[in-house]
Amino acid sequence: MLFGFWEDFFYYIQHEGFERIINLFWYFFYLEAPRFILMDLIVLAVIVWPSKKRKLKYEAARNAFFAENPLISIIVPGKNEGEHIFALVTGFREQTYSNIEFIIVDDGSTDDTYTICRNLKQNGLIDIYLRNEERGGKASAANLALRYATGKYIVHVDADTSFDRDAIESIIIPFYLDSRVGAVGGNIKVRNSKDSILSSLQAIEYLQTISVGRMVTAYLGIYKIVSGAFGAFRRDLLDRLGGWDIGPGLDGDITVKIRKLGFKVAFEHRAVGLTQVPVTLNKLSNQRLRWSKSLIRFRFRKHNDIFMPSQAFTFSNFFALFDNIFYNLILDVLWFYYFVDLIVNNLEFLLFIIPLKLIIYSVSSYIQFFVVLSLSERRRQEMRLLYYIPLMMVYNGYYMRIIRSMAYVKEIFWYSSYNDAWNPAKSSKKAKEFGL
Amino acid sequence: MSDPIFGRKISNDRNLEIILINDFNSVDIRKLAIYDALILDYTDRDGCSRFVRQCRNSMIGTIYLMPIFILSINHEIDKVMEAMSDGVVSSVQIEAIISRIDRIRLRQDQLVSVDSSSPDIRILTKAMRFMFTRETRLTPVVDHKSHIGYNFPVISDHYDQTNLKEMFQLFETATEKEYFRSRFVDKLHVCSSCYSSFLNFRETCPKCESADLVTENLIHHFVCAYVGPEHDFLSGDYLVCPKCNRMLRHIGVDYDKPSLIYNCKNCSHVFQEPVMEAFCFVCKKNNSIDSLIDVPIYSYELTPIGEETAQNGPSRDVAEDVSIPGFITATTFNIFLKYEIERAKTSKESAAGSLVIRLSPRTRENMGSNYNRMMLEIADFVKNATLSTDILSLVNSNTFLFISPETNRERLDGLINQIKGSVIKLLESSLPGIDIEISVQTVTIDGSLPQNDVLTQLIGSGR
Ligand SMILES: [Zn+2]
Ligand SMILES: [Zn+2]
Ligand SMILES: [Zn+2]
Repeated sequence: MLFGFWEDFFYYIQHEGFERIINLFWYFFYLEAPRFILMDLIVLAVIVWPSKKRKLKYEAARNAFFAENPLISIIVPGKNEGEHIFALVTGFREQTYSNIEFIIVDDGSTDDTYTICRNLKQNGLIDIYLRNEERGGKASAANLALRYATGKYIVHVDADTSFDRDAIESIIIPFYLDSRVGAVGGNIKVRNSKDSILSSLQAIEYLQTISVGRMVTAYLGIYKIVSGAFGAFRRDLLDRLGGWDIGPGLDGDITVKIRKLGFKVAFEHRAVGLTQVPVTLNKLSNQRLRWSKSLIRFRFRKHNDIFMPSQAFTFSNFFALFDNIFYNLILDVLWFYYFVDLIVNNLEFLLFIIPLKLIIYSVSSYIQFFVVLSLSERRRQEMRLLYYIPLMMVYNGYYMRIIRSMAYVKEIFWYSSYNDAWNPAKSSKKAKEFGL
Repeated sequence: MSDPIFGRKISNDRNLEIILINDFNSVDIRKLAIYDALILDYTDRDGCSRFVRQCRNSMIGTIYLMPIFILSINHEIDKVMEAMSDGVVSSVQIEAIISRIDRIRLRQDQLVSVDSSSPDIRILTKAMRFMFTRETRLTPVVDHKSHIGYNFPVISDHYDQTNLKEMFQLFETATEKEYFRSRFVDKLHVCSSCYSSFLNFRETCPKCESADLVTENLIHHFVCAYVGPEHDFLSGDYLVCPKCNRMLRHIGVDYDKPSLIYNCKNCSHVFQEPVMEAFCFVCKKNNSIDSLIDVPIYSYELTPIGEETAQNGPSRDVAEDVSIPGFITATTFNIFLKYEIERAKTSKESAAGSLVIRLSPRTRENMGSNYNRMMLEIADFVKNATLSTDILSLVNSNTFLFISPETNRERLDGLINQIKGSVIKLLESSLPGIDIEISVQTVTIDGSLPQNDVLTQLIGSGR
C-alpha cells in the first residue's frame, strides 16, 4: 500500500517532468531558492573560505584595537529585567576585553531591578545606574544611557542576552578592519533551544536568518538591522544622530540612519550573544506581530525618501529597503496567490504535491543548515537541530507568513503600532502627530 | 542655730532650717545635711549652676535629695538647672515653698537606708528616690550641651558623654523590672562610635565621597526621544531640543522631567542616588546612615512596684538572686496577670490579692540580715497555705502577690487575711513587741480593669 504510493508518486514526477515541476513550484524555484540558497552558498564560498590574507588582516585589526584600548560603553536600557541583570553584569566580567563601562537605564521598572542594580552599583559592577520612575520608552532610555556614556564605542545589549567570552572584542574589531564601518551587528543565537519544539525551530530560524542571512546581506551591502540585543556603534555617529528615535523598530531605524550618513554597517558572525526566545505559541505570536508591524512603519512611512531621488539616495540603501520590502511584503501577497493557484489547479494531484513540496523545502532547508553548521563555532550543540528541519516548512511557510500578513494588514489600515504598549502613551501621541 | 558662714538663714514660722546662699565658693556641701532646704541666688549663674550640680551629683541621700530652690528675679534660668532644682522663686517669700518642702521631707522619711555595692544600682536607687520624693516623672530636657541633645536631670551627669549607652541600658533594665513605666518622647539617631547626635547629614558621591555635588533635572523630549540634563536644552529663556531643534513649550505635552541627576564636581561621576552620610562633630567619624543607632527617648514614671522599691531599695537577695520555689518574678507575674485579665473577659472571673508587710525603717535596719530570713519563712508559710493552682510572687522583699484563677474575691480575701493573722501571731511570738503593719488588698479580675489599675489597687493604695 505504502509502496504503491511511492510508485505512483515517482510516476507522477516522471510524467510531469522537471520543467513542469519547476513551473508548478515557481515561487520556490524563481524567488526563494536564488535569494536564500544560492546567495548563502556564494557568500560562504567568498567570505568564509579560509584565506591567509584575510586572516592576517584580521590579526592586524585586532592588534590595533588592543593597542588603542578604547573605552567601550555597554548600555542596557530596559524595563523589568531584574532577573537577568545580575547574570548579565557578572557574565561581562568574563570578557576578554576589559576596558568597558556598564550603564543601565531602568525605565520605570516595577520589579526588583532597583534593588539588584543598587547592590551591583555598590559593589562596583555597574558604573552608572539611572532610573526613571515613570516609563519613557526604550528609545529614550537608550538615549539617556548614550548621553552619559563616555566610551568611544557604544555596545547596545538587551538584558536577557548573554555573551561568548570574546563577544566584545569580536564586535569591535570590524571598526578596525574598515574605517568606513559605522555600526556592527552581533550574531544572536538561541540559548533555550531545548525548551520546546517551538524554541528549537526558532533556533534554526535564528541561525538561518541571522547567522547566515545577515552575513549575506552584509556582504551585499544591504544589511538592514543591527540588532538591539547586540549591536555596536561609533559614539560620534550616534551623537550626530541624537541617538535613537521612538520605536518600535528603533534598531532598524538607527541602522538606516547610519547608512544615510554614508557609513557601512557590518555583521560579525563571530560575535555571539545568546538570547531567550518565547517557548509558547502565544508569546511567540505576540512578539512576531510586534516585529512585523515595525517593518511597515519604518520602511515605508518614515524612510520613504529612500525611494526618491534625493541627497539621501544611494543604490545600496535602496536595495536594502527594497530587499526587505520585496521579500517580506510583496512576496507575501504573491505567495497567497501562488498557494491558492497551486491547490485550485492541481486538486487531483494534491496527494503528490504535498509530499513533493515537503521534500523540496526540506532539502533546501538542509542545504541552508549545512551552510550554518560550516560557519558555526558550536557545531556539536547545533547538530541536534537537524531533526527539526522538516518542520521548518510549516514554521516559515505557513505560521510566520500568516503572522506577518496579519501584522501588515493591521498596521497599514489601522496604524496599530502607535497604540502598542511598547511606547508610553505620551510619546506615541506625539509621534503620530508628527507622522513619525 | 546661728547663721552659717556661707549663707543667711531665712526665718519662718515653721522653724525649718532654710538658708539663702549667694556665695558658692566657700560652701562645704558635706555640712549641708543639717538644713531642711536651700535657696540659691542665681545672680552668680555659673557658681549657682555648679553648686546645684555638686549637690545633685552627690551619692549621699541627704545631699542629693535636698530641697533646692533657685532665686531669680527675671526667671531666665537654664532649663536643665530648673529641672534639677525644686522650683524657681522670684523673692524670699518662702510661704509658697514651705508646703513643697514638707511634702518632700515627708516622703523622704519613708525611705529605708540601703547600701549597695554596684554603681548601677546606686544610680538607679537615686533616680527612683528622686522621683519618689518629688512625685514626678524622670523627664529628659532638651540640652544642646549634651551630646545626645537631651539631659536626664540628676542622672545624666553620672555618665560620661561618650558612654551614654550605659545610662540607656539602666533605664531599660528598670523598665523590664517593672520599676519604670516609659512614655515615648523622641527618637534619636546617634553616632555609632560615640553616641553623639551632633551630626551633619550630607549627600556624597558614591565614587569619591565628595560632597561637592550639583543636581539637575533630566528632560525627555517625547517626539524625538532625546533625554538629557536641562542645560542641554537651555537656550536663553527657552528650552530648545539639541537633537531636533524643536522648541519645548509645554511640560507633560512636549516633554517631561523624569528624574533628577547628580553630578560630582570632584570626579564628574553621574548618578541618581547620592550616598547619605552623617559626619559626627564629636568623634569626626563618617557614619553611613544604616550604621547610625536608633535611640528612643522616653520619660519615666515610677510604677507601684517602683515606688515600693524606691523606699526599700532594689531587692538584692530575696526573690531576686535566690529564687524561692513556687514564687515567680514580678515580670512573669505581670504577664500572668495580663493573660488572666484577657481570659476573664470571656470566661469565669478570678481574684488577685496582695499582702504587704511593713516594718518601720528603724526596725528593719535593726533586723539586718535577719529580715531576709524572716521573709523566707513567711514565704514558705504562704506557699503552704495556698492552693497549687494559685500564682504567687514576692516583690521587693515585702510584698506578696496572688492570683487565684477562677476563684471569687471573697475566698481569696478570707485566705489572705487568714495568712495575715497567722503571720502576725508568728512574728509576735518570735519577736515580741515588733512594730509591724500588714495590709491586705484584693481585686476581682473580670476583665474590666486594665493590668496597671489592678496593680495600683494591690500595691499602690493603703499607704
Ligand atoms: Zn527633540
Ligand atoms: Zn565623585
Ligand atoms: Zn561620633
